[in-house]
Amino acid sequence: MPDRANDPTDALRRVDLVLRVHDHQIVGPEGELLGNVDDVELAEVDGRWLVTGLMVGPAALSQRLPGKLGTWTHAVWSRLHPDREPTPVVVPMEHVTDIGSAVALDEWAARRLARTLGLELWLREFVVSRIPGAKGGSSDERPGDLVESASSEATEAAEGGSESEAALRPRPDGRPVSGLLGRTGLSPDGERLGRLRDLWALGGPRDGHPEPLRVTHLEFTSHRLGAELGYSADDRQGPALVRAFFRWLHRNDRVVPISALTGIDDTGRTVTVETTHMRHPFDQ
Amino acid sequence: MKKFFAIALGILTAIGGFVDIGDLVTNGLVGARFGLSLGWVVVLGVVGICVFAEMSGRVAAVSGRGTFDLIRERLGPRVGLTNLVASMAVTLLTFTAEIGGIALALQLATNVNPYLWIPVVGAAVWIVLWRVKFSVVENVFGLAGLALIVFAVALWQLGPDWSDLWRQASRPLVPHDESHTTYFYYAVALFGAAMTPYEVFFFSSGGVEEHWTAKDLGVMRANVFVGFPLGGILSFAIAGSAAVVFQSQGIQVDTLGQIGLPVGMAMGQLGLALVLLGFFAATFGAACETGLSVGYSISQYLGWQWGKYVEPLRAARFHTVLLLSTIVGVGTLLTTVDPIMLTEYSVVFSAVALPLTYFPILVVANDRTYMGRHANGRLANTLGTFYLVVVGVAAVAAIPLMIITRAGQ
Repeated sequence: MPDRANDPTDALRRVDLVLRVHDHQIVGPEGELLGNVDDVELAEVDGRWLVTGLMVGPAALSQRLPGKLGTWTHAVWSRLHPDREPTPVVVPMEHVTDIGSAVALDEWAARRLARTLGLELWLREFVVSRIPGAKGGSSDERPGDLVESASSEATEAAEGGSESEAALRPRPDGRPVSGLLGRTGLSPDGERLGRLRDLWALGGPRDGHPEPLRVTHLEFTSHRLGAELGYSADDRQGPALVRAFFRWLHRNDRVVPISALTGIDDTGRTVTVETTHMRHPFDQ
Repeated sequence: MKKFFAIALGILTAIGGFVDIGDLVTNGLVGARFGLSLGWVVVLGVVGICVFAEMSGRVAAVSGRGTFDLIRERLGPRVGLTNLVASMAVTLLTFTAEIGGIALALQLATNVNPYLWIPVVGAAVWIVLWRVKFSVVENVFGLAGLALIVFAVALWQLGPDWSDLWRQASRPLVPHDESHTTYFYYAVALFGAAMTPYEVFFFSSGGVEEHWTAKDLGVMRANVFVGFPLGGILSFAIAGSAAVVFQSQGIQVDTLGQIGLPVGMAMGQLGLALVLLGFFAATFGAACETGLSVGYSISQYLGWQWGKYVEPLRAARFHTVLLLSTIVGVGTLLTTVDPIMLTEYSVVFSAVALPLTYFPILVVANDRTYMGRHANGRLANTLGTFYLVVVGVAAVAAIPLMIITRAGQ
């Protein structure tokens, strides 16, 4: 684990959702690799914007791929999915135990997420287990055991939409972060602030205990190039030349508190914000 | 004592595993045409791979993330996907070239047509990827690759004019019968061969396979800073012996047999036997490394379970990728494309793909949220920034030089 004492951003416990959560590896309690955070689900609960879940899998990823590629990814996924009207997989935030270089889940969520990995289960059953020498599970298990248990879980999940499937559904009021990113920020008098590049949040799991992760700020930029490299989160991150370039490129970046958000226009792909508390990301 | 043995083993495998088909072919070819006048590129390339392999190894040890994990994380899914497609095209090309190299080495040993060997070799490589333990693959082929030291011995035995070789290497000049553009085309090729991106994909993911932690940083650095430069000396010896035997005769080198010939001339049958063993081990080891790198990178981009540290059934998608890439590699070779030509293209396209890999590594190695006190220091950042510029120049220059020189003719 990284040395937390020397961690400059940790004191604030600020989590930049795009930088620190999007595209990070998801691991289970045994260190098993369960997918990437393909998107993040937000919902407005009692007037607060909360991170409610991690979206995983082709459905979530397809929203973030450009043009035809995204459409096709989504089409192939929904065609191959055993359900008639499949929904994207969303892991509820209560089951996230750590956000570090990887995002860790508890056993409950890890087990259910593993059952949604359709391609893995299919290849395991129909391709890899048929190759001589295929092994899985502990040494006293027969080669077929893992496949059998996996496929019986899969059938169980397919039959009558068991509790586990329902548990990883998106919230009706949830919206993916990717749907907001890239939107143009407008001041009340119509001035452009740049495009939404990241959302800052506070809270999140600590030492294995889930805590709500609450969105606090919106960050706008005039250049999305290099927006995920981390130079706006840590003003001392080297190397100096690269930092200087990206700080110059992002010199007009602006953050506003989430309370300044006054409207989300889904047709015009804009968000309207009050600009009274607007500042540069590095200003305190 | 056990620790000392582990370090020694690591260094030896790093030396033996350093050279692959790209290094063999490019160094032999360049030695025959340019003598040691491109030796500075080998030094530049070896220092560069040390700088970035250390960074990627350190990130893997501290954060547990392989290189492509980080590429997607820092570049996002769109740019990350473009990067994945480009990097995997190059790595798959290199993988194909390595399989071809194994077949050529076996042809030299047995006189059996390489196209008969290619399917056998493909099957053998896949069986190793499927069943053999990671540490066994690394150690066996790394140690057997040490047989390439015969190039250094052969160079000694050939009794060259050392002062002349030293003058060529230390005061590089473009030879009279070569143009500046071909000189720099081969400079880019040599640089690409030394810094091939798969080396860091493999090195970082290998660190995760072997469960490195921050405690293993010392051993990792010993492997990189001692093993890689000593491996680089093998590159020099290959170029030097080709220079001594072929350059004065004006002979162009375009087969693997010619590259091994100086050893045969200097040391007879024993030398030839060792050189063939070295060729076989170096290309077979590198074929496993490149094949695994394809699987590692695709899986890391998509978040799939990967690695040989889990049982195959738990990483079904990863093993399917390994199987498919082997089939693609063998299929490409069976179109009767020349493996040596494939190798030459693979090192030049590697040079084009270099910034895609090395820029994200440099950024993440500086991220203090993950790396804490193991983040890059001033030396790593100075060298890293310098190499970012060098790598950028090489990447931009590679394709124009290839077109102008008609791939070095």
